[in-house]
Amino acid sequence: MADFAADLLNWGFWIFLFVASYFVGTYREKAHLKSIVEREKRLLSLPALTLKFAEDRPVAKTELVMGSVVIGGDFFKQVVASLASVFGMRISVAEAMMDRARREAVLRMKEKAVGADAILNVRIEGLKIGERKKITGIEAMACGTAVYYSK
Amino acid sequence: MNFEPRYCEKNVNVQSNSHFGEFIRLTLWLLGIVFVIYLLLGYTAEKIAERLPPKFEAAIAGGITSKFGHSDFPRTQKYLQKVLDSLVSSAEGLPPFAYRVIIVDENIVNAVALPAGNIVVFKGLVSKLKNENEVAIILAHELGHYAHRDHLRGLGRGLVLVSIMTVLGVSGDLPGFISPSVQTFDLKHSRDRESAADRYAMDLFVRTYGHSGGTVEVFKVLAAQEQGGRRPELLSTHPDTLWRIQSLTDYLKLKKYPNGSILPLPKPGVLPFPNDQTVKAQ
Repeated sequence: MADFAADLLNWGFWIFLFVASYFVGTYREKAHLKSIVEREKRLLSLPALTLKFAEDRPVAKTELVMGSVVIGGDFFKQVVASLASVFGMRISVAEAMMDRARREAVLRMKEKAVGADAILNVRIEGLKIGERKKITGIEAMACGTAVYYSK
Repeated sequence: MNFEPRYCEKNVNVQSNSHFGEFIRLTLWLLGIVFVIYLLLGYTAEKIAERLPPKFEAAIAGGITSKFGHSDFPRTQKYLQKVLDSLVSSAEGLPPFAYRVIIVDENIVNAVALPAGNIVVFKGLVSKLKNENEVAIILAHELGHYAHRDHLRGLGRGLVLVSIMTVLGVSGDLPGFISPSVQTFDLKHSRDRESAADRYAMDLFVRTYGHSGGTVEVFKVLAAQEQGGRRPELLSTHPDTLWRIQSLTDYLKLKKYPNGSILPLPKPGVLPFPNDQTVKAQ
């Protein structure tokens, strides 16, 4: 009976963490996505392009702009990701996380380029933080050249 | 070249936002695959183990046997060994092992057939036994497992289960409330084997002692023991004791085995269990 209670306590802790991290994680993800969509619409008029050359107009100023973000992988996502990795299936929890991170990084980059006419030669990178198979978090970084044309 | 701002509402990079659905789907996949592997490997291991030559089995068992070098209860063990030897000498169809009985100092009411003829009887069971007939039927039941090679079947399946758990990274024991459900599948098999061992034990007892007196009583002792923490039948390895008593009684009637006298335990008190260490100290 004592063993049973100890097991229950031991495993109950992880099960509770799993369930709690699912609800908290889902809530946070939804809130973040909502804010991303809103800001993306607001910053739509500033193009972020992979083109390397500016338009044929006099350029007043260029500048390196960069935005980066780190998002933590919660316990629920880690468990689901490790399950998916057993079969080589699509890890949709990680897809959602990476997508959020990349979009957030681009947004931060755009927010950095105040008053620019365009951001050129944009590069986006992502990397995993955490030892071995563990996903403690992911980082996404976007950088490019902000171009200000002469008025 | 003109830049036209346009917002795409559809996100092609994330196919599904139902993470919980994903979790359920993956878990079912995993359980399904593990189950299939367990069935296939378990079946194979069982078949291999059944055909394991006794010599090879003895070699494997070396590691187990070495742990039982000395005994805490030499007098009781000697007595049990004597009963076991007389059973073995009149038994049929037993693999050629040097059969030994070992008493382990734990309050579990159970006995186990380990590879290469090592029978472990726990102190909890020994202290419950009241006469030689009961001692003999318990030992004969374990001999029945050797005759049917049951001890190896369990070994093969257990090995597969442990291997799968290791591969999945589940180290150590499964928690108490999960492991019964993992094993439930095996238990039906297991119960059939226990019944077969019971019948073998009855035949062997009659062959050795010439009657069947006092044999069913030991299961009543076990039944009384179970009253405390009863488990549902599906979750227990040994068949439901009441059902077991009934089927054994039927078997006795069917075979028309005569009833006979009950042999007392040797005096002074090898059983029920005096502590050999305190006796020595006196």
